[in-house]
Amino acid sequence: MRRLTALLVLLLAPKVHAQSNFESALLGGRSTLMGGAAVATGSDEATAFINPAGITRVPGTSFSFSTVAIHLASRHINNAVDPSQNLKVEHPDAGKLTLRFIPNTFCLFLNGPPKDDFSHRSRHKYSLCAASTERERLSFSQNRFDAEAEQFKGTSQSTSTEFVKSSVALSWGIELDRRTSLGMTFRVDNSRYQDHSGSVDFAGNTGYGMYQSLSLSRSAWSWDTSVTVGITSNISRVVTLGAALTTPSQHLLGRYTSQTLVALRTPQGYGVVQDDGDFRYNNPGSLRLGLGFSWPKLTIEVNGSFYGPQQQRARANFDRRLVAFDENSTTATESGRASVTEKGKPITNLSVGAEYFISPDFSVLGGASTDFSGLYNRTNQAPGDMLFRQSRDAVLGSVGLTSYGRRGRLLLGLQGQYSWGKALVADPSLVQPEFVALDQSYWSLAFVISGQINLLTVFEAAEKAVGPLAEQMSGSRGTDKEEPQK
Amino acid sequence: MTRRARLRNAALCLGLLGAPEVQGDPAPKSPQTPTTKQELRAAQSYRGCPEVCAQNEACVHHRCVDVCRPDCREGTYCTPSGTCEQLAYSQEPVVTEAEQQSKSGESSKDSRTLLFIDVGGALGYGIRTGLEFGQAHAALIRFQIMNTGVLSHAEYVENEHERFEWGFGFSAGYRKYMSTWGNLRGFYVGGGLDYSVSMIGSRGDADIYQVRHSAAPYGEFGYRWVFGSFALAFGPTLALRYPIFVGSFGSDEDLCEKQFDCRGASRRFEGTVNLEVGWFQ
Repeated sequence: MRRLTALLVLLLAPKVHAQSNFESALLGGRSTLMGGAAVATGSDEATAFINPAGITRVPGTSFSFSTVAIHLASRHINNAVDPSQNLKVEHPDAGKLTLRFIPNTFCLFLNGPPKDDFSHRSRHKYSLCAASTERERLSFSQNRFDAEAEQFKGTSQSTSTEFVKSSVALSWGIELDRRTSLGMTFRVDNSRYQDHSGSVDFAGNTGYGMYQSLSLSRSAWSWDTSVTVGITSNISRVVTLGAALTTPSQHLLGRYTSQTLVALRTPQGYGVVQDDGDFRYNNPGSLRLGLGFSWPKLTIEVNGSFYGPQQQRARANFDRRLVAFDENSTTATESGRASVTEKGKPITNLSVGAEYFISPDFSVLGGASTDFSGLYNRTNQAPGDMLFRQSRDAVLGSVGLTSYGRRGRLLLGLQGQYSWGKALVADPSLVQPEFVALDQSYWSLAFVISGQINLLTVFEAAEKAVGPLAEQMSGSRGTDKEEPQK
Repeated sequence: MTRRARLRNAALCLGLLGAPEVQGDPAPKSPQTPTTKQELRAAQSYRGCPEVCAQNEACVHHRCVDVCRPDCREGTYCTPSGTCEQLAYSQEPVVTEAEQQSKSGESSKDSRTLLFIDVGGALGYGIRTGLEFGQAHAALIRFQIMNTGVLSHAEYVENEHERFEWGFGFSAGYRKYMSTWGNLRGFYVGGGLDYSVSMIGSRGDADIYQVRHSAAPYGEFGYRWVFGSFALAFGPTLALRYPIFVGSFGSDEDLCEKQFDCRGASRRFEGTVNLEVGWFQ
């Protein structure tokens, strides 16, 4: 019994160790199609998150609904069904093609107090934006069964993991003069993490058999805040510089609940582990620098984004209760305080984008960027030692069209992504069941639709529509009043 | 210009800009104002502007600005050719931000002292009260009660060993105001030093406490609006906080290692938002 408990403690004891791709979110239509390059000359919803000084470029009081996209993605994990290849089953790889509709970013832009002395437009601009700023989904479900003579063996693997970070950003931007703008964003992030995984390996013959299984189910959420300040400045008619600094996020509150069940060479023993406590997911501090070039028909921007290292990118801090049963149903329990931590890796991402105007109100855009993971490479992990299930580095490319008008603008485009990295998959076939790091590849294609509507034009249109009706009504009321006088 | 054309232009102007904002007499154009037909056409192009500028606007440094500069006087509007024409109908005058601020702050624009409360601190490390003294260059001192801030408590929520008991802080700083229509108003930039003391208790049974001293050089910018003697300021503050001194005391200091994370507070980068409500003295 003690040996079983000791083994479970070893399996489930927390140690230190990896979801942190910061550039993949479809934050704004134009920015997305320019490869994410928006620090210097950005003028859409993404600026509220990337460089709030850029919101002063957003025309008028407007509503933006970027980005609604159809997202086609495929993930392939080598040997996911038989991680350690102990079972030698056929077709051990797992892959999944998904099609989703992702509403991503909504923004309301408002002009501030009256105009300044150099423009009809207000110096002050405010925005309220909501966006999904990070998203990762890993899911597959596979069964294998091989039989030969009287022997049989098999495995079942099921994994469903989803991480979503949603952000609300309150921004303020001010034009200091014609050349320079400053801005700030106060941001509240909500991170939600669901991880459900079940795996069983079995083997036997007609008279005897045994199985080992590992199942994990956990749910976590975290609320955090951070502040971003940014500046853009036109140093000449052609060149614009931009810079934005984001503080590491400050944790407000969170929750972590996890259940793990291990069955060892059944019927030898079972173990149940319950974790309840706090969860935090911290944004790293970051510095974004942008250099933009604008000619009458062409805009080019190059960006560099630097994210600092973190001792705690994510941390679950909890009370753990461990209950073990042996073949005689003898039990043992242990409890204590424990934590699991993910470190944050310092990263640098580069992006470049261009917009070429074919006519004054029609342009083509294109861009490319890197999106390296802020998590360290996945390595084999005991179930109680692991937070995030995958990490991957990505390259993104995009191309699209924009139509501009007085009433707003509309963008259509495609964004493609290819990424590679490691994914952790449960392997119950080992003497000490654990999550094994396997190579994965991932590609996706997103159809990006983005729009911006000038609210003044909406009010004008409403006035035009309602005006004659109102006149008619007041006319008819007047007639009603006059009739009695007659 | 025919009456019909004039009305059409007026409608164009109004359609884009809402109410035309007019004031002041027509004056000679600034050097950046396009004058010739070719210059005007070039200015109206999409020279890096995020939208196509209207006919009475020019794209200058990625922003659409009026071609009439300074703006047309009250009762007139800016035509596509950059001239000011009489409006077909009267409009309520719209004052500039500077004029509005000057008028609204008339009684206080020469005041040199402002007493304020930073209520934004409730979402940060505590509400602050402060006194600011000066004109375009100003000095300020602030006092903070950390118990009134969400982040002061949140910092220790998930820590099994520690609990925030109480804390206070004070800071001294400098601000430079850019406006020319009164003291202590408009856009500002500044910086200073913040010093805070907090006491952290143990969640365990032992009667042990730690007093942590930290200092943080900070930088800030923001904007202050003035309405008579009342002022409202808004802006971010970024600070880099360094631990200065950590002292433990209690019934059994030897237990510190077991009950506390005795490394004390580590250096951290903080971002908070100021929302200052103030009164001129």
